Amino acid sequence: MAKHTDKAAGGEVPAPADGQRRGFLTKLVAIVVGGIVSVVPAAAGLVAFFDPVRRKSGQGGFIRVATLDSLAGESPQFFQVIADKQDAWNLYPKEPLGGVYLRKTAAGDVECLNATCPHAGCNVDFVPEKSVFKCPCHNSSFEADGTRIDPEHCPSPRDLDTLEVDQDQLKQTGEILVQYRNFRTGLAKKVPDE
Amino acid sequence: MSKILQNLGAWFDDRTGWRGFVHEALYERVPGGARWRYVWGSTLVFAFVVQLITGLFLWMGYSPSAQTAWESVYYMQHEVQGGWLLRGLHHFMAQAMVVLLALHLMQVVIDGAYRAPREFNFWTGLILMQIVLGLSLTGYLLPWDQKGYWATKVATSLAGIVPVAGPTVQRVVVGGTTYGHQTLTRFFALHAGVLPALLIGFLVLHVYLFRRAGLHAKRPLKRADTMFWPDQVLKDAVACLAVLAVVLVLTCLPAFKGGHGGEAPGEYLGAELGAPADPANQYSAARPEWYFLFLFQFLKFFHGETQEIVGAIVIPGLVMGMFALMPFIGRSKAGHWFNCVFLFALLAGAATLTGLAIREDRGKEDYLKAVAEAETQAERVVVLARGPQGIPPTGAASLLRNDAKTEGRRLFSRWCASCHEHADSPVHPAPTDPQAQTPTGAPKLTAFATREWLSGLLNPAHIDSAEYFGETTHKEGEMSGFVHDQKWADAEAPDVERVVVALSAEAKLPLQRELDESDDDRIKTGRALIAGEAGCTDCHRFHDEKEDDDRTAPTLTGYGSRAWLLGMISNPSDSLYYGSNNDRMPTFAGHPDNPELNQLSKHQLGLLVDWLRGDWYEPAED
Repeated sequence: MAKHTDKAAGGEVPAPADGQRRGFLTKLVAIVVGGIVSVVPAAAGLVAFFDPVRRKSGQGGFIRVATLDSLAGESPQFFQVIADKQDAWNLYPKEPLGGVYLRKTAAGDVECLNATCPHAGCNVDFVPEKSVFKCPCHNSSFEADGTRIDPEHCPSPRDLDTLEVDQDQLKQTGEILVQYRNFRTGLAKKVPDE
Repeated sequence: MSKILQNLGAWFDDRTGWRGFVHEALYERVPGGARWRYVWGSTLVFAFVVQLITGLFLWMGYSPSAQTAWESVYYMQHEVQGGWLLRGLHHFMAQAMVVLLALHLMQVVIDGAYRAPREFNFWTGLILMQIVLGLSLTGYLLPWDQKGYWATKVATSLAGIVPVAGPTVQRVVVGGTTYGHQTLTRFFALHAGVLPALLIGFLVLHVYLFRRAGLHAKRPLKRADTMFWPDQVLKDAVACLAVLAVVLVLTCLPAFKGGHGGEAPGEYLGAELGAPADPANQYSAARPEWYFLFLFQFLKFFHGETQEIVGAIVIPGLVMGMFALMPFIGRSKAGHWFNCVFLFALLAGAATLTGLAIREDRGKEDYLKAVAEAETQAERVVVLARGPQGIPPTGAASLLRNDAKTEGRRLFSRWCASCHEHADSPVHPAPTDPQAQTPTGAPKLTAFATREWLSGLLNPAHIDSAEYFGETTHKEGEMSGFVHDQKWADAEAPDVERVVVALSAEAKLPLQRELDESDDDRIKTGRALIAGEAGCTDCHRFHDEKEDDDRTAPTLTGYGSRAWLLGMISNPSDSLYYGSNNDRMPTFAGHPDNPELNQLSKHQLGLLVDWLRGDWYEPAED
């Protein structure tokens, strides 16, 4: 039985009778129209897709983390930073945003370190027996003041990120307000992730 | 009848050409006959089809958001009938796929099947490999458990170090600067939409190119040529069966080890599900899937920004570049040898790094502790989810955060453990003298206010030990003096016991409830002793509070009860407790009028106290 298709039956498409110029125009218009119809939906999608790039993280305000009398000794102590947190369509009231280490210095000041390792973003643990910070992921280690112990052989490209403490408030009321910010990981320079 | 069927078949073929299509699909020539070494490609297609089928059904039960992802996976694993099997198949087939990819790649390189005219076939294969690895990476996050959450965070922060485009890519994939709802919606769209669509597209191209060039036969040909159907198909099918068997065995592995009486299969079979992701609680045992461990270990050798880019991006990029160049390098015999050596060196290197990573972790006490801790939490959250309150709409992470057994313990280790010893605390006080191994400071609080604890306190041999007042100023205090006094030493043992029993009953500890109920008489006489003869009320209050009370020792009214502990921890320097005799114990909630200033909220204090008293939800035993 012969194959029964229009092509096989010899239903030839008639050869174009128009001039070359017309052919070129047809092609051009076909490409432009075809292009438009496919670009529009993709563009609409991409605009929404790239929305997070435009959005600011909104970090940088001072947040109350602890009071001075909660710091015992000169060892760094871990504190959660708790504030309202916006996650896309949800507002979580009083949600932990992250962690910081607070330390009373010999001079009586308070120093604050972001607990996030600047290497790849894990949280560092403080080891009181050795008085060092250790990252549980790739073994970066830091002194109690946040400096790298062996910068040449430390995976982390920079020391632990220090955060600003509101010194006026500290002196006036003994409350420790910290400007909580996260910084981009993996860079030698401290660049806020905003 | 058969004539009608024949005619019908012929008509159908005439209109669709299906005979030609089937012929094209099945009657591919296999030069030198069917062989086992040709099965790898087919097993990969099979594995992918299994992932499509199981993935589609998992999709029907999955809800990508920070409050529902873990919860819906929990439901699939523990509640849906056979859900554990579905998850297990999907999880272990994904692992099998990575192994099969490696085998397929090895077979292609060893056989030199990448050479002309099959370059494009080889390159599409490399792209498919990247897509499969992308599927693994995105799938790891979707259950939104601690392990996937923290491990994937490392992976996406590595994407951020790529020069120029890195930060944008990172932000677009994560859906913002922090992990949340949009990370899940995006990872899910990648995992279930974009990547599978790409995979299907490239797979079609890969198979088309493979068919176009024909099967690359391993020389010398051993037998006469055959057709793909049925000889090779049978071998392929047997290989697929073997793959499926291995995956099923892995899914059911714990069942073969036995010892799971009475548990539902979802509790020990299939893929693991950790505790729900909690950004506030670092998971120190975060590791990628085993087939990415070599990359994880590799990164430890690179120090600083530039080196990290080299280790995480440049070197892996160069390796992929080398693979892409294989068809050209392999044109000569020496080049082909080079390719083989390169591949095996790479695999050996990856195996060594994987071994190193595992060995290092096995020797790390902190890591092992974190793993054990994670397992405890994973089990606990299931108990809570099945408890009377179930999973609230806020999600399962809040179950653990509001669980005295979990959060109370955490609070203790953060706020109390630097001075107080507690056997169940993950953190213990640092010993003053490392050789002495004795905790410093305050009394141990293991089994606080129980009969045993109080018997120790009221025992002259123990009250001044490090477990009670030994490291505090109370060692020299009146209580110590009282216990050491001849009068107390002369007291009859049953009377001392009655005092202990009565005082301990004040705490109303859940663990001692039955004991207390059966000891009514001794408690009564003990209370009378405390209030009278024993002389406790000279310094302590005991249900006899007066106005202008000048007794300075902590009240014994409700000693060790929830209210007593809440008051004590809130403000030990309160006149009801130690007053001015308080030795170093900080005030945790000394601002009743301005709770913002308190270190611990009422809710936190409640969890801490409940934990100390062993007062938390446990399911009734069958």
